[in-house]
Amino acid sequence: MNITVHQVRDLALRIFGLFCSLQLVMHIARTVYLVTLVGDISYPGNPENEMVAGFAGIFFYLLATYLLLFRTSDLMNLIWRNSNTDLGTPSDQGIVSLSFWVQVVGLYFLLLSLAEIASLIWYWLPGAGSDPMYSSDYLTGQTLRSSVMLALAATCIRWPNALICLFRPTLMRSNEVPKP
Amino acid sequence: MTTNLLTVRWLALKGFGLYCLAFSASAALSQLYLLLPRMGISWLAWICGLPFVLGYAVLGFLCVFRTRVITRTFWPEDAPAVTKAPASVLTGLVTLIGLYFTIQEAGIVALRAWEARQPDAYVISSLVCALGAFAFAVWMIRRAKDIAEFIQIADSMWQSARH
Repeated sequence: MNITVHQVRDLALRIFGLFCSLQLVMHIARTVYLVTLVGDISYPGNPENEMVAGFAGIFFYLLATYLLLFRTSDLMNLIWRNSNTDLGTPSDQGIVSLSFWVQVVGLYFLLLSLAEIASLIWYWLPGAGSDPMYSSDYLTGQTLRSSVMLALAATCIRWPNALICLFRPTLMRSNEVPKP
Repeated sequence: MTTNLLTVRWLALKGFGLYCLAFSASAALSQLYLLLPRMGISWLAWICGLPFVLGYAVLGFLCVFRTRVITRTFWPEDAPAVTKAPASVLTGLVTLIGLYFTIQEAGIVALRAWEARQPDAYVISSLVCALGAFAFAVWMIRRAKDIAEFIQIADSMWQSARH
């Protein structure tokens, strides 16, 4: 069976969509658990705050699931703008090349870091209540971590070939490596 | 490269094994600071954490260096077939797994560096260990070709030793 590059990209995005739907279920379960903690004075944190942050995560994963599963072609046009390479088969269009897989790794981290940032934004809003478990220092550290991951993920998606050129001195020691 | 089911299985197992090996190395490196006596971590806690890292390492070793044992176990009908993907594909696989851990560890380094504004033994040693894990991931990318060649040589040696 022949498969085109377009179909491989479509498949990759839909698999990420399924991944997001699983994350969505996990976030819903966690938020429901937090709802049961409201009013529990033995809990060291602020369950109301964490619940709202949980809702932000749910909203993000809901949106990502919808976009990845039902708006796949729009996303494909956004990520792979030069769609004139879409019609060939994976072997002649270099789907075994690194650039596609670098973008896939980037997409994975993009989803994870955006979900984290979506949850963290709530704590930075002026009206958000204080939470003993989430000090300002802790939040800054987590935001930095997510931002670094987001920046690297965006680089992987937008400029995979530039990254591959960075690795090239070692990768191109022989002529076996497929072209990016 | 001809892509058939056997090659896909071979690559998937190698990829999973490489991930497990890199994960165990990265986890061990980033937790090394807990060994310092002043951290006050009990030996019992260490012994409890060890099977986790060792389990990943053993699974990774089996998938990477004993791929045929795994394929023979799960797909006995494939036993006579000898499958091997080109070193270039394996190089790409090592690079990708290195890239995955580089992005992950870069985030952790940023977090630890932020915490190191108020340095103490805990923060500094955890930052050093995070930098060690990050350096390991970058090393994987930089040495992807050598690692891939090493895996292929080890694979061939194991195969010839069996016959």
